[in-house]
Amino acid sequence: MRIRASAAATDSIALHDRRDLLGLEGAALSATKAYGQAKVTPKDIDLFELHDAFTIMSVLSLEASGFAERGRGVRLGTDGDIAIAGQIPISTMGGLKARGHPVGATGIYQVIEVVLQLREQAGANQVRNARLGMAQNVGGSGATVVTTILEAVE
Amino acid sequence: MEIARHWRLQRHRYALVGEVCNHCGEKIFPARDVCPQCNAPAKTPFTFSGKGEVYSYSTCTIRRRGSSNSPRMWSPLVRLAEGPLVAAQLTDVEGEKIEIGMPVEMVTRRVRD
Repeated sequence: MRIRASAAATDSIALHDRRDLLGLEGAALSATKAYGQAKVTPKDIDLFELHDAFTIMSVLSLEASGFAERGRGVRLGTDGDIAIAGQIPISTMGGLKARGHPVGATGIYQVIEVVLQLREQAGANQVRNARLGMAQNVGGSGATVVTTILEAVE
Repeated sequence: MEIARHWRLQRHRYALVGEVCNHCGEKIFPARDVCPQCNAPAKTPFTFSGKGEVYSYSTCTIRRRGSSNSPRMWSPLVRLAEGPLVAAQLTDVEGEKIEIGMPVEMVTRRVRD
């Protein structure tokens, strides 16, 4: 396992102080920094453990992290792209909506689940050929975002 | 909350006093002494008119404890006429109908019985 990126970014915690209420600028900054550190693009990511504490956060995280254009994130759901066998599998073991959101422990869960996928230990939920996994943990509805990219090493 | 903090927030809460940036003209609320637009120091007080419009809103149907006449609580984001966005509550809404873009003005109300 190799840590290819670990990048943090922040935004104001008050929604009314955000520059753009219809996006997650903190997540965009964090993801961009992470891609830069890892020298990869969204296309290279095999699975994305995003922060779906609320469904809208999944959509906004996908858009902010470059997997869909602004306002089009929901199509990834309707078109099946986020399924285990899809273009960009998310929450491969149910994510926050299924697991719950043990706040501080959530980020650890997300990384562990990426590792299980990269080690091919995900059982029925295994993403095929998982080489590069991304985990993104969000605090304060987008005020603090940390994006981690891990790579399976033979 | 301790008295000192209440005291310092008086003009902010009841008179909607923020700041204006003398460098770029940005109206700032709440007061923060540094302009968020151009980063210049901004300490000149500015009193907002209190007028604005609804930018977005949520409805909470859970009644606030100890407040017998608030059947619904609306939490709008209000775009003040001078620019800043503030989180607020709505009262005296005619016909209980709220719309994005609806004009509003700042008032004070007793919340607890």
